[in-house]
Amino acid sequence: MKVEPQDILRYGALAGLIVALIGEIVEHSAGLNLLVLLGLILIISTPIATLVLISIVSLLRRDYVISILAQLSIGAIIASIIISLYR
Amino acid sequence: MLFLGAIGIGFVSAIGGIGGGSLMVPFMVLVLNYDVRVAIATSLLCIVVTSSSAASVYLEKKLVDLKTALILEPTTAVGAIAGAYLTLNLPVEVVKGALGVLLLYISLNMIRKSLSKTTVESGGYGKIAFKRKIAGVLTSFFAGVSSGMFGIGGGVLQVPIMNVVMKIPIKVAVATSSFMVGLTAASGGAVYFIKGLPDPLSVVALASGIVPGATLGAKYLGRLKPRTVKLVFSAILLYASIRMIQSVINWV
Repeated sequence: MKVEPQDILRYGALAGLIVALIGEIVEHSAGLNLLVLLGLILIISTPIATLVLISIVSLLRRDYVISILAQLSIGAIIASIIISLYR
Repeated sequence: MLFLGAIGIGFVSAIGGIGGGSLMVPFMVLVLNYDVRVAIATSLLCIVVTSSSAASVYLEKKLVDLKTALILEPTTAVGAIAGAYLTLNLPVEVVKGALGVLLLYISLNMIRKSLSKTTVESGGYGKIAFKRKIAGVLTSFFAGVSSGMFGIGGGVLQVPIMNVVMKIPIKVAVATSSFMVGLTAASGGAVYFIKGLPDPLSVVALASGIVPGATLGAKYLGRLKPRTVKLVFSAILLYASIRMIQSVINWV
C-alpha cells in the first residue's frame, strides 16, 4: 500500500487524538496514563513524520532540493527541542 | 463547556476564515480560568490536529509551495521553540500582556481588512528574489515566536510574510501557511509536552469540538456575511486583548 505524506497528516494526528481519548478513559479506570502520553506523542510527531516521508519520497523522485530542505527542517526542529531542554 | 466553546470557535473560524488559535487561548484563560501556560500548550496540540486535515487537502491538490515552506520552516520552528521557552520562563502576567498586544494587532488588522475593499489576485508567480527569501526567512522567525509563545498557529503573521514580503499570491500563501502551521505548532508543542503542560482531556475536547463546528460553519457560509462575522470576532478579540493588557497593568 502506497503511503503519501498527506495520508500521514490526515490520519496521524486524528489517530493520536483517538488514542489520547481512549487513554483518558483507561486512566480513569485503571490509573495508567501511558496511552494518553502515546496519543499526545502521536499528535506532536505527525507533522515531523510527514516531513520525513516528504524527504524520502522526494529523494526517490530525484527531487534532491526538496529532500535536503526537508532534512534540514527536521534537523533544525529536533536540535532546537534538545537545546531548549538543556537550558 | 470547553467542547461547546470549541464548536463555537470552529464555527466562527470557518465563516470568518480565521484561525481558531487566537480565540482558544483567551477563551480558556478568561472564561474557563485556565493557567495561561496550560492554555497555550493545549491550544498548540489542538492546532496540530485541526490544521492537519486542511493541510493534507492542500498537499494532495498540490497547492502548497513546498520549496518555500521548507525554506521558511527551519527558522519558523526555531522561533516557535524559542517562543515556548520564553513563555515558560517569563512571569505569567508578562505573557498575558504580550498576548493582549498580539490580540489587539489581530483585531485591528481584521477590522481594517473588513472595512476596506478587497482585490482578487490573479496569475502565478515566478522565481522569488534572493533578498525576498532572506527577508522571509528572518521575519518567519517572529511568526514562529508568536506561535510558540501564544499558542496560535502563526498563520496570521506567516500569510502576510509570504504575500507582502515574498510576493507570493494569497491563495498559495494560505495553503503553504496551512501546511507550516502544523509543523510550527508541533515544534512549540513538543517543548510544552516535555514539561508536562498540555491537558490531554482539554486537547481532546477542543479538537473534537472544533472539527464539527468548522463543518457547521462551512455549511452556513453562504447565509452569514463573512464581513459581519469578522467584525463581531474582532470586537470579541478587542475585548479579550483589553482584559489581558489590564491584568499586566494591575500586576505592575
